[in-house]
Amino acid sequence: MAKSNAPASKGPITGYLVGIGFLFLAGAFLLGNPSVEIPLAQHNQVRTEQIIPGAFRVALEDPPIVNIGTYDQRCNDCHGLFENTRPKFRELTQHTDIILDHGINDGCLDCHDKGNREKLTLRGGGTVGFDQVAQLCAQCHGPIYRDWQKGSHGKTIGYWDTDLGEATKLTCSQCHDPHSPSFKPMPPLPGPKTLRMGEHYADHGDLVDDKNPLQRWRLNEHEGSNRVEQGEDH
Amino acid sequence: MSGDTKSLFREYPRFLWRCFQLSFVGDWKYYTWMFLLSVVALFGLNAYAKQFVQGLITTGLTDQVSWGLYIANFTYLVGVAAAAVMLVIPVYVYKNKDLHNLVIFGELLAVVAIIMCLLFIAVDLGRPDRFHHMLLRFNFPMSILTWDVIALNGYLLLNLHICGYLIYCAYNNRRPTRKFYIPFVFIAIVWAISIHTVTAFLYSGLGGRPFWNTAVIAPRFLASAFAAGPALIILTLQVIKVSTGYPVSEKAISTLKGIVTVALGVNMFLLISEIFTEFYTGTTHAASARYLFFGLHGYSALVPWIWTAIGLNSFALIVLLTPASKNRWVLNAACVAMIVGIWIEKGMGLIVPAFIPSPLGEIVEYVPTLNEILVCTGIWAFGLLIYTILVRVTIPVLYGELTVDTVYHTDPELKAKQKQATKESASVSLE
Amino acid sequence: MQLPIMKNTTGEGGCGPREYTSRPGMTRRSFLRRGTAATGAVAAIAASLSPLRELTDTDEFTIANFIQKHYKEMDQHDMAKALERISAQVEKRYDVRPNIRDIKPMDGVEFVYALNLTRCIGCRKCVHACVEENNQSRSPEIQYIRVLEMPRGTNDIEQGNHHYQRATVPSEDHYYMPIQCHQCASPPCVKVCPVEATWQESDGITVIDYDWCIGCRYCEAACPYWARRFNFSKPSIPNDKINPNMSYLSNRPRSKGVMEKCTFCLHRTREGKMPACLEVCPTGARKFGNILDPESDVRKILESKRVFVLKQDLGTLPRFFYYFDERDPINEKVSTDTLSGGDA
Repeated sequence: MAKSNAPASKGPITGYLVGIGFLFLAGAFLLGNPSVEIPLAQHNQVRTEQIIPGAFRVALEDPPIVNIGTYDQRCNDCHGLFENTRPKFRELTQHTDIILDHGINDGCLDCHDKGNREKLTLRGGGTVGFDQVAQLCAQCHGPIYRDWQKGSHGKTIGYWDTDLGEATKLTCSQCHDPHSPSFKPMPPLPGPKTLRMGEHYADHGDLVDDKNPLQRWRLNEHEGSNRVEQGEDH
Repeated sequence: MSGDTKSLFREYPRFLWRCFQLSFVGDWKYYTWMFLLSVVALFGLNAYAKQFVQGLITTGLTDQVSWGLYIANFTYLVGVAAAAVMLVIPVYVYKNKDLHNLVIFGELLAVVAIIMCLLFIAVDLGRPDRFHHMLLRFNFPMSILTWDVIALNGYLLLNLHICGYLIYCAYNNRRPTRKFYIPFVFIAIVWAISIHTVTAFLYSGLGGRPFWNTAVIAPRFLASAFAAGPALIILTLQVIKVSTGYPVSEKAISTLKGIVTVALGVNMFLLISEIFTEFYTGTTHAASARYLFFGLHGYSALVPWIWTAIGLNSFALIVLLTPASKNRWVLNAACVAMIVGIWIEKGMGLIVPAFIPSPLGEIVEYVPTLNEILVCTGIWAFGLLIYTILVRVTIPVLYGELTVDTVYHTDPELKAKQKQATKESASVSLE
Repeated sequence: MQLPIMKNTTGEGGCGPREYTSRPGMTRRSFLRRGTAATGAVAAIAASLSPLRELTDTDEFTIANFIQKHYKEMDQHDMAKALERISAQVEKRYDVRPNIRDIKPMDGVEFVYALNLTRCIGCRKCVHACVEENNQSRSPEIQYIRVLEMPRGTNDIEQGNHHYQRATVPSEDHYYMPIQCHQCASPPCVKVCPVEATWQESDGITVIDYDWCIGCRYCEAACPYWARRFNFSKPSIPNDKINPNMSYLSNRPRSKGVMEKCTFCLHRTREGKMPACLEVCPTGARKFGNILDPESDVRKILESKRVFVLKQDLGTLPRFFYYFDERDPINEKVSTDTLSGGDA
């Protein structure tokens, strides 16, 4: 603090001014907003039922029980009454909810046993129960079956350490609908909305490298050009 | 002799107290300057209090860009601190006479710069209350951050010792004993190089950030530090000369100018080297460089910054290489241009682009918030405040106005009489 | 003016008796001046710190927190006390009594994760199941797993789209790559942490001691896979979504200012269960297990599938392997010529 025996200099007032200045500053701090406004994005609400773990669908057991009308029926209750003579797929009057879209299969009897509807048929003769559906699928889908056995295809839930609990390897029909096995596209759950992310392009089409030979086939498809039509040998 | 030593120890608190009192002595210009700095510093403290309560969400940082303005300023100030060595080497190694009485200001600047660095780190931490964890479990030598902790604190202690010892000796009208400071000075020379090298290694050791994972980071750091630091010192010395009348010779300024010119030239060369390596090769590793210089996928927030910085640095270099820089004001303009240009280049041009795009290719741009900027300016103001006080105290000691056996006079007549009486030791030898 | 400090009565430098003189010039005016300035300064400093009055949640700033040791130095008793403290905090904040314990790694176990890129459809169920299982903050949003929509024909991550929002997935022109912490065997994050708050345990999981982390975010800068997340503010989790099955090193609620990341659900996997992301995946694209067990899925996959890792050139040795099946079901146009010759 400047003290002076000399009379009337600028010095003395400075102290007061500084003090008053600081007091104003203190007031400004106390009256100001004690916290900073944060722009937080609305977070994605995901309902628990959208993320249920476990098997994708319920598979039929052996013997299969089907619900028709309000009754639980066994297959042979109806199918035991009639003999099927038609080799190809026809319009169904029962089981109308079934859509058959399974590659080159065009008839029910490709998989279902002609003599006993409660069993599945094997190509070389013989039947398997519905609980061993993998044996049926394996006849045509050999490599997938090998992968499934190894664990690289399909899903095993529960415990990885079988000493501590059960590992449940899901069978084919617990993921795939046997009549229309390919996975149907589903809506994705919401994408990330992290802090200060900003707007993001939904499509990164501009990033496709049009000089890259590895991606030229995609661009050609999109451009609609068809090289076969242009008279090239195939 | 021990009685003498004991009295020196006893005198020390009194010395500190007198220094404290002296820092409040000044004219209205001094008070205005200090008041303004205090206001800015208090705004910074206020902003940090908010950040302490709410967390780092008050800054513009994100998981994608997790280091920003704080670390940028930290990096720049480590360079400024290291640049003090550019004054020390000419004086102590090459026995340069012109810079002789000015070294102390460079070392004081180093002290203040390190304090500011430590403050920038402290405000950047998510849990500063857990700082003691560093002392309990220290991942040395694997983590370069631990090296940095040792380097910065060691450098601070070194410079505090050197400055403190020399000033206290001057205060006591004693000749400094060589063995108590010369070894430390030479250690400080090596240490100064190492603090900035270690800081550079913090960045260049990360394989996941290809923008940083180059060998040129450490040389660039040192080159830009030795350009910006002495430029800052050139400006500071002129301010000191104008406000206190302390003798700063023309030759001193021109020696510093020479150092700055060389360093800036090296910096520009390394920049060209980096640009060539990134863009001529054209790998995907150059994505961050592409973002910085030209924009990437429509995002280009940093492009004007980096080109401004390059423009400023080029202007400064060209000016320094021509005789135009003999004009003091042209030189000052070049220094300001360089200081700002290197600040942008080291901050916005080095720290932020390494995070864009993220390691998974996502682009989230970084914009510092007002709160963040207030904290940064607050720390800068605080640093300037400390430096002003240190200079305010040092010069009277060096002039012999504040010594153990004199009373400090603010009255100009009494001061002149005192100076007359101690004329032969007016400029205390710091040899 | 004279500074009213010791006038040296001996008149020379060096030692000598000193006296405090009375303070000349200390008038009432100067006292008021000094007083005003000093009061103003003190008031300004105190007022600038006034936002601290908003600091209501002082749970984290207790003595017990302050003196708590590093995880590796805690004995049973220390851990029990810490768990008790955390339990009480969780109950107070979320109204849920948690089952929190410290689960040690199992012997003879090294975890490996494999992901079948042919089967991933990009539904993001794993992302959200993980969020629920691991008590991650909803606002600001933290998600350990990030799914990239990659155009077919490239492995260039920069071309991946993080923000796809189609009507349905998968898109024919893309494949989907979820990325989370790879628990690398040579982790750059562990290398750079200055306080050893993160380390890799014997079963391969890289863990974080949330009570030790100082929040410097060096590990976040070091990770090449962007796997680590920082709590920029206090995490907010809806009370009804809290998963009470917690462990000290994985999914207990974190405080602001500390790092977190995927821990392969160690509170589940160290008790033999599958991680949450695997359980919820509808197509079974995810595989997990103990690589040291010759009968495990992951062992067989690594032996027979052509697996690759991301950014292999960085030498991080990830534990997360990606692979494709030989055939691609989506883009396969199967001829629908029917079987000839009727039924067998």
